This record gives sequence, structure tokens and C-alpha cells, in this order.
Amino acid sequence: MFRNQYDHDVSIWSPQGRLYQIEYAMEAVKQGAATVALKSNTHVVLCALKRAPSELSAHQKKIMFIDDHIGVSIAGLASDARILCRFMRTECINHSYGFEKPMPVTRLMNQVSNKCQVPTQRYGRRPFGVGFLMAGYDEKGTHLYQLCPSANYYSCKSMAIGARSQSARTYLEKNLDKFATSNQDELIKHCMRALRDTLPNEVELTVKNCAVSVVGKDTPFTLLDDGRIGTYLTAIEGDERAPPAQDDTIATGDDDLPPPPPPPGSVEPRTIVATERMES
Amino acid sequence: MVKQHGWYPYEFQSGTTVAVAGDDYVVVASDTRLTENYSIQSRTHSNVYKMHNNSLLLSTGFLGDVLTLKKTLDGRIKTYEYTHNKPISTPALAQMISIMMYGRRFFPYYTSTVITGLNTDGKGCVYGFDPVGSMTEQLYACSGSAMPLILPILDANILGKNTSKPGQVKRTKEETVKMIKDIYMAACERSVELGDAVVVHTLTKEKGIETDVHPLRKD
Amino acid sequence: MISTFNPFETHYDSINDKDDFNIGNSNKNHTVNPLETEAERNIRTRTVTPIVTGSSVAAFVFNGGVILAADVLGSYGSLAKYRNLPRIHQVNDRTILALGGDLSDADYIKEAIDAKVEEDLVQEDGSEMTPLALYSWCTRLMYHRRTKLNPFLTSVIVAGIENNEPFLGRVNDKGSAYKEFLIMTGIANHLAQGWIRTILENSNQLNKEQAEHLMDRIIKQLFYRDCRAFARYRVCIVTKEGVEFKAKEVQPDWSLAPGLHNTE
Repeated sequence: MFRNQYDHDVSIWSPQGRLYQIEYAMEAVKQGAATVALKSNTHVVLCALKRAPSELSAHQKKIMFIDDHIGVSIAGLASDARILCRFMRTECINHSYGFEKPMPVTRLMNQVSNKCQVPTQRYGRRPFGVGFLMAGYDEKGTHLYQLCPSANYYSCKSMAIGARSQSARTYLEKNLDKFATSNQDELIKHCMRALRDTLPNEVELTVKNCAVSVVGKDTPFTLLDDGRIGTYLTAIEGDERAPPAQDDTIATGDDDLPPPPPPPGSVEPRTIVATERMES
Repeated sequence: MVKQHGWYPYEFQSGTTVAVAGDDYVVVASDTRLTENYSIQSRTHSNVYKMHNNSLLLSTGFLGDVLTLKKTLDGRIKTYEYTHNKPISTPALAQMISIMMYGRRFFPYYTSTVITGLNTDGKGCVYGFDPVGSMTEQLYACSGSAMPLILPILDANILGKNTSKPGQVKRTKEETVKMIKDIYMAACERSVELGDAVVVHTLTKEKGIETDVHPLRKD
Repeated sequence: MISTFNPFETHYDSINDKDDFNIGNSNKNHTVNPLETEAERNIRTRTVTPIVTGSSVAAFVFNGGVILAADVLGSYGSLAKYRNLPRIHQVNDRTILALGGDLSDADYIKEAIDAKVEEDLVQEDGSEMTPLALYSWCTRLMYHRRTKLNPFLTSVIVAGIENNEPFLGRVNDKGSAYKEFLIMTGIANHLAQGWIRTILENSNQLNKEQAEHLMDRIIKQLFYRDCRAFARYRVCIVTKEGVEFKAKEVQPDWSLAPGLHNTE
């Protein structure tokens, strides 16, 4: 059962110049629980919503430690993320082995993006179904990157990915100019408020379903413990929550979706017919 | 004209380390002289390496191997932390070192290595290795160029060996530190490769690592 | 191709018996990896004695920087063969590399580092080699080759500014390495190390001019006593402001020679 004729494999172009398999992989990220990140001149904060697949299971792990100065927060297939995470940890260890210095964040991002690119160009393979936000601090200062399954990566001041993340991005855009000079506490609060905006009205952010981490100047990458998260949750309790964004639901994902499948029995687009005629 | 020698893949730098385990502490020490063929190359080179899990690695012998061993261990310790979600314990680290060193059985790391730390109860532990990875847990250990001078003193002072009053002597942390300093001061009178300063680290559960530097003669 | 040297390959410092003890020079069953040259496959063709050699390198830290000096002679045994062969190289605006011992190996190491710098450059991420990173990388390179029993018979000195502090370190042909405020290689280790160490330990940090003056005295001393020394030399001073090279020549004064019994 295919959505269209051009999505059998990542190595197949659509006549419009699109790679459907990669776009589908991007959808996997939009279905993962939301994660938000933002940075100031001295610190980077990651904040993620942890889902529990069932009443019986623990909450998932969203934020991963890479090295003392780098961490990532993922959205999408967690098992794919573990592979990337192991790769990045190894890269960091190897860099320290060779150069006695922490891995430059930009360099690591480049390496992992190169790794992700390979399965977007080889037949029979599938792209990593995970996107992440990488927070890091090195001699060049704070870094925040977003990685997509398409192997594109973007340097960001702040970013949110995952389900219903449009609401968080709205919050981030509204407050963007405050972040650069914020201190660590304010930064964490901004991040948690942005994350809270992604939640449906009836759901609350709790110590259980929220993970927060911080990295920065004189601050090695740390995941905040429940006590500290609780303190920040209380601090933002009274603050106003933004109305949920209209264009953003789990069912439809957010920005640029691939075109909906053609209704059954409809005529194929003209370009496809042309190609087939040439072949016959 | 300098005589042309065949090239040999090993060389030996000076350096002497001592480690003593106590009930709730470990004291380790190293002199800071680094020599190469009777010329002093550094007066500030300590042979004690702090590892990521708060163990202390003491390693002397061929410096190239020491550095490589230390760097490889750094990576292995982190990998252990990632796979097991906890820092490696000192006994486990000792076992890891043993296996790593035996891995080079037919081209050994020419080092005399000691790993020290606290076990889960906060009791000091000391493990000594030979160059191919044979391991023993010890009460105290000494390695390096002045080992033949220092080891008999430790035998006598700690276990009462070869004295008129055999039997283990328990010491407090402070007494141990003082004893080690005295031993270094004595040994540097008789060994040309030992001198400049002795760095003494004490490791306790409460205070972590404390460091003390004591000057020695510089000639 | 040295540029593909990767110190991180897990098996890189293990010994492959087939390769390293191949006395019979058999060529079968070799997977040729980039570092495997004929010399590495066959123990008889390895260089274990230096051929073209450079003499001493002297380097020490002064207040706010590092100063290095070495003459420009490449000796072929006792023949002063190459008379303009600088051995101090600038890697970038805060990192200096100085080499002594076998100059062919030194050349090879220099090219390896140039390739590494180029690799960093094309990444276009702004991260550069720093003195500590280069020093560390050199320890891996030198140790790697000694472990293959095909050593670089060279002594590598890395100097520069690391985190706004002067940095000076040395790696030898076996991969032993240390950082120190005073480093002398070759015959300078015997002729100058002692008295310079005394001066540096007793002075409260020299300034740049004093350092340069002291370095000139070292080189002059070496020129008087070292048969493989040469009058023309290069001095390199690296500070936070940048790197400065000077080409100089020893102005010897032999008038004192007749007064010495063993120089007649």
C-alpha cells in the first residue's frame, strides 16, 4: 500500500523534485513528543515533554548526555536516536583521545549530519526517523543546533520540534529578544513556559512528564533532578498560557506536509503519464 | 661523534609513586622529577592521574606507554559510564586495566601501574599491576625508579616485616601522609632520579581528593 | 598519504605480526592501508638511523610568550649539506612547530600537520588547531609509528598560546611527551639546559627583550661547542599579539680561543 508512485525508496525522485521517503521521515519527528531549546550568551537549556506509552511503563528518555559539554534532546524514533547518540559519544571520546580537548560542537554536528545523510541517498536504506536539538558549550561559546532526518542542520537561537511544537515556536518568537541576556534561571523558565504551550489545555506540566537540562559556561551538561524541576514548575505556575495554535495538531503535523494521497481511481498527474509513455 | 645505536622501542623515565590504603582513606604520592638519560627534563611532572570516576592512576616507566594507557582508559571509563549508567568502581577499573594490559602481552605497555580509589563502603583499595597485566590487591604499593629503596621501608613501617615487632600498624590519614613525606625525603638523598617535590593526594569519601605539595632537594 | 592518518582507529596501535615481522619480504596477503609503505611491510627497509639531521632546538617560556631558536643547517653526517633549511614552522597565528633530529621525517611530519590544518580549514567551522591539540596529536602520531617499529627519528616541539597562557611541550621519537617551561633537544640539552634552567628558575620571569638576548647567548654557546651547529639561525617569538620570526647570524668572537689550552 503506497501513498504514491514515487515513495518506494529514498533513491527515487518525484517529478516535482521531492524525495517522499525523506519527507515521511520528517513526519516521524512531528509525531514525537515536543522538545524545546533556547540559548543565551552563556547557557543553553533543553526542555522536553516525556510521554509514557502506557500506565504500566515509565516515561521515555528524551534528553541524552553526549559529553560534559554537549547534550541532545530528541523527537521521533527513540531507537534511532540511541544509535546516533552512541555515535556522537564515541566521536567525543575519540576527539579527547586525539586532541586532549572537548569536541567542538559545530564539528560534531557536521559529523553526525554527514552520518545521517548516507541513508538518504542509498537505495534500500531509510533515513533516521529522528530529529534532535543539540545544546553545547565550547571555546566559541554557546551553540544550539537542530537536526532533521533529511540530514539538514540549522544553527538556532531557540527552537522547538515535535508534536504541537508550533505553539512553542510562537512563544519563542514572541520572546526571542529576551533570551540572549537572560540568566540561567530565566532561561529555564522561558523554556518550560514554551514547552507548556504545546500541551492541550487539560494536561499539566509535571515533574514526571518534563525533563530539563542545562549546559554552559562553568556548567557541565546536567539533567535537572525532580526537586529543581519542581521549583521551576512552581515558579511558572501562575503565568499565562498561550491559546493552542490553530494550525498544529498531532494528526496533521505542522508545516509543509507532502500532498495528500490522490483519491482512489483518480487520474495520475500528467508528468507521470509522460514518463511511462517514454518507457513503453 | 655520538655512537650510532640500534633503535629500541622502549625507554624509561624516572618517577616514583607510593600508595597506601587505609580503612577510610587512600594516600598516594609521586615525585615530580622527570628525567631522560640523567638529565632532568621537568621538575613539575607528577605521575598521578585523576580519572573520571575519582580513582587515581599511578603509572611510571615508559612515558609513551603511560600516556597512551591513561588516554585509552579515559575513553573506556566514559564508555563504561554510558553503557552501565553509573561510574565504574575502582575494583572494576582494576580488572579493566588488567585486561587492557594483557591485550598487549606480546608488545607490553612497559609501565609499573597502580590504581587506587575507594570501594563502595569508602574503604581504600590499592591494586598493583605488572607490565603484562597481572593484578594483585595490596595494602600498599610502590612503583617506579626508587621502588627498591622505598618498598622495604613500607614493609617495615606498615606490616612490621623484618623488624623485631611484626604485625600491621594502623595509621590515621595524617600519620600516613607524614610517613610518606619522610620516606620521600629519605629516598631522594639516595636516588638521583628522585627529587624536586613530592605531591601527596589524599582521597576520602567526605572530602574527595586533597592535594599537598612538599618540596624535595633539587640536585 | 599521511593526511589520512587517523589516530582514532581502534586497532591502530596493535601490532600485526604478518606486517611487522615480515623478514622474508613476502608481498602476499597485505591489505595496504595508507600508512603501509614498503618500509612498514619489510623490517629491513626501515630507517632506524637518521640521515639528514638537524641539531639542537632551544625553547623556553618568558613572561607572556614562548621563544624558540634553531639553526638552519641540515647535516649529512659531518657534511654541512643543506645550509638553508629552517626547522621552525608556523602552524597558525598561535601555534608553532619546531623539529630536530632526522629532517626527512621532520618534513613528513610537517606535511602531515599541514594536511591536518587544511582539513580543519575546509570544514569552515572556525575551529583551529591549538598548541595543546597539536601536541596531543603529535604524541599519537609519534607513538603510533614507534609502535609499528617504524619510528620518526625526530623530536617535535610544539609551542604557542593556549587559553592566553604560553604553552611549550615536546614529543620524542618514542611518543613520550611532556610540557615544560624550558625545552632543549639535541646537544643543547647537555650544553645549555643546566645554566639556562638556573637563570630561568632564579629570575622572576624574563620580558621579551631579555628572553631574546638570552636565546642569542644560548645559540652562541652552541655555535662555539657543537660541531654540527651553524652560524645562521632563526628565532621565533610567539605572544598573544602574534608570531614573529627573525633570521639571525652568530657573530663569534674567537679572540678568546688562544687562551684556552685545548683549542690551539
